[in-house]
Amino acid sequence: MSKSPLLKVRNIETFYGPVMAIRGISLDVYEGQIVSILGGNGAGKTTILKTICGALEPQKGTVVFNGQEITSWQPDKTAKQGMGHVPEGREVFPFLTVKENLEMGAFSRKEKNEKDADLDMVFHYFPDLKSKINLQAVLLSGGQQQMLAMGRALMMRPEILLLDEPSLGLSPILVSEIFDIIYRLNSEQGVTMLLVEQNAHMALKVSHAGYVIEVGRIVFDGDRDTLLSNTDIQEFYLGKKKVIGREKRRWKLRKTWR
Amino acid sequence: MNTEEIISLDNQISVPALFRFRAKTLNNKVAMREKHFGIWRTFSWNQYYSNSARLGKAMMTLGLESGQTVSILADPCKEWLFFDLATQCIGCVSCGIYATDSAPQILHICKDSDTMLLMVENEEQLDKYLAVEEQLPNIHTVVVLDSTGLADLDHPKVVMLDQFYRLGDEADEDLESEWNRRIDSAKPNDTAILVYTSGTTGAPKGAMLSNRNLIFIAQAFHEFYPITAEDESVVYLPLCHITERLLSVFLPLARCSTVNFIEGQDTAFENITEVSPTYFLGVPRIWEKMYSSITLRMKDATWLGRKALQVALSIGSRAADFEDNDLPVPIHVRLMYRAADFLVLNNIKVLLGLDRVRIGLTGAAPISPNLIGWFRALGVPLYEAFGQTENVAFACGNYRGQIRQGTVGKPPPGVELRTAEDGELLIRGPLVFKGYYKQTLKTAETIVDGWLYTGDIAEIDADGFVKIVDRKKDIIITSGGKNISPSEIENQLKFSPYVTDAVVIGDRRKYLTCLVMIDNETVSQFAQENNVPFSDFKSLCATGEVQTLIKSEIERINQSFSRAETLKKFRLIDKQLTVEDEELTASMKLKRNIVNEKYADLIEQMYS
Repeated sequence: MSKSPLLKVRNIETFYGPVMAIRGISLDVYEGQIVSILGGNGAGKTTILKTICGALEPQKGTVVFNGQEITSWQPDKTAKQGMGHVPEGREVFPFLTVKENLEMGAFSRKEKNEKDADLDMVFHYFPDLKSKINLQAVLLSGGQQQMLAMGRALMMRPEILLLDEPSLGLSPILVSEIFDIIYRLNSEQGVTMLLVEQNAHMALKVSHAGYVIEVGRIVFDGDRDTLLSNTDIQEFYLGKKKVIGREKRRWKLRKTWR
Repeated sequence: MNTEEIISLDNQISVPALFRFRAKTLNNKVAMREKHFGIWRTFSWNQYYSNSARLGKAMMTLGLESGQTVSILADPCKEWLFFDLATQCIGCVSCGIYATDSAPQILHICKDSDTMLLMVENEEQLDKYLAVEEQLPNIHTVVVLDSTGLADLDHPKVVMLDQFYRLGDEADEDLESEWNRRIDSAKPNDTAILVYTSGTTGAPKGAMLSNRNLIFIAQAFHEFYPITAEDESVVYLPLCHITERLLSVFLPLARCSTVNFIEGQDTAFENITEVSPTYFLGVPRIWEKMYSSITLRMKDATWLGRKALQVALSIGSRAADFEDNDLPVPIHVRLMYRAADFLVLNNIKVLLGLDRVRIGLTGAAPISPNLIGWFRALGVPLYEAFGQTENVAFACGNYRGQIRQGTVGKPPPGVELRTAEDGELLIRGPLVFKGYYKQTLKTAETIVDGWLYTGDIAEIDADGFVKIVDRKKDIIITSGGKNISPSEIENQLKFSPYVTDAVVIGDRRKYLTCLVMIDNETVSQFAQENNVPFSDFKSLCATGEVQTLIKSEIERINQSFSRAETLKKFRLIDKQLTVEDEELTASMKLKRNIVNEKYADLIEQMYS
């Protein structure tokens, strides 16, 4: 790809107190792509997203977005710059209605009629929300709250959407529904996304490229086909197993990442 | 070889007899510790012996005859030792197999050694056996240590450890006397253990080591490195490797010391720190790793901290110089050393778990003299020794007061050394092994008139210190006709914190080149410090900055060699290798011939 990436992260290191949570991460997201970050619990996936959007400050390294260095900018500034962050666990405003929540997303924007068009667009992708438009967000189901959080982020017309575990705590049917919408948003609206997921299976279905993180470091990266054909990913992230003798093997093979 | 002379230790002439004697006299003294769910648990000599006896009786119940082979496929653990000694006590031959070996490798060893009974650690190892089961009809029983995940396994040959113990407990009284009878009948010349050599050329061969070999070495070792009943060591290398076997099985038997098992390879360094051993053998890789971990930490330290270490090390190095030459350390140096040790050096030793080490040993591979110097300056008495499987891992060594840097020291009493006309090191004495199992031809090539041909080119100086030049077959002869020892150059490279291992190439070539395996940890840190973007290991190797870094390391090293010995080009091995890869030996060294084969393309690039 000759074009320069929309989001360029270089060598970021982020600490929680004395603990180094991410230990030198560099990644690229090109316009129109979905890029996923895969990894187990505590690998540092969320920390990467939080560092990119400014909720955490890196000790080292740079974040360049749209040609502009935004390292250590406050989240409100990065949001204005065009970063839509959908945090882990949705974090919708519980006592505001669905409509109010969505309007909060467009808070920083002026044009009234464009907002209405965007609202229609959101309802087009999330029809469930339309019927609940005047309901308080706290009364929505987990899946609907996830949709609301995504819709809210879309309302600010982001240039990139940072999605933190959209599948968290959702039933398998809802997960595939959400990922279907993610796929459509990308293919129809061209929304660029950086997606953090534990559900590697779903994430790899929709993304163009991905990075695998283990203990704060990238251990493997590549486009979707490279990732899918890697035996370690198949075994440890997609749960495909070779069967010899008995049905299950409990012991773990060691990962080599190549 | 003079086989008439009786070699005994506390009047015992065989390993089984010595074992029984120790158990009776030491009783409840701690023999080993193993960490179980985070708590160190102790096992006495009594338990060591009685558990081995239970296993031995079970084996006899199954009809194992003296001279038959029992193989052990497990990481180091107390049961490894129980099985090892049970096997030897009933007159069988004990053979260790690396837990990292693949199914075909296990097939080769079990077949070649005529294994009748196999002990496997867990499901993972059992699966390897099951994959090649049909080709091993001689194995009639497989004992599994850890039955996790195997509850519904129904296999006629497989028994779990507790069942196996029960079999031994149910044995009648006749077996008790049979057990003692077999111990009594162990002869000095009986093969006690079979050790498969890594086999850089051809398939692994089983070296037969006799009771006489083992008893002799256990004693000879003591001459140089006095170990007492109070000493503690850590078992962290595979026990099928003769060095760890000597230090963790035979030496404790001879000297009554205590061994501590690590939990796993990942926790090795933490466990070493917890135990703080008093004698410790490391392969060069371990010492290198310790050294680079300190070097790395010092980079993040303050200017004052770095300066303090530098000063303390130079004082330590002065004190070590006196000791090396067996001279009394002058009082002012001693005082300065005390201060340096108290303020700086001891903290580092505690961090590494080396603060109690009285005897530190390095062997199994060449090591950079600078590295030994560094540890000695730190106050860790590190001695380089030399040995091979064929001479029970100990043919010569430096020891207190008899140290010459760059050499592997002198032979212990009773061992004769000389060099052949072509410089090959020859060894004679009770340490020379019996031969390779079922390989008369290979044995005849290796032992001629009692002299063991080591395959190493060596120089012996006027004082008797031995300097190993290189493996005979590794010597590079360039197309210009110059003889070059690659390991000398490789050692210098390995001393760089950024280089884990390297292989120098140039046999029948115009110039020398090398393949370098970088250290992921230190090079990643270098990249981070210099804002070099990278994702995985491969991309790290590919960055221009890392290439330049290694290039400058090589150029620096080139300065200390003659022109013909300088490295003209290099390539990085951009795969992160693990012990499971065939390119690495169990002690994490690159295997020259495999590397030459596997990376032939990379090598050709450097000569085109």
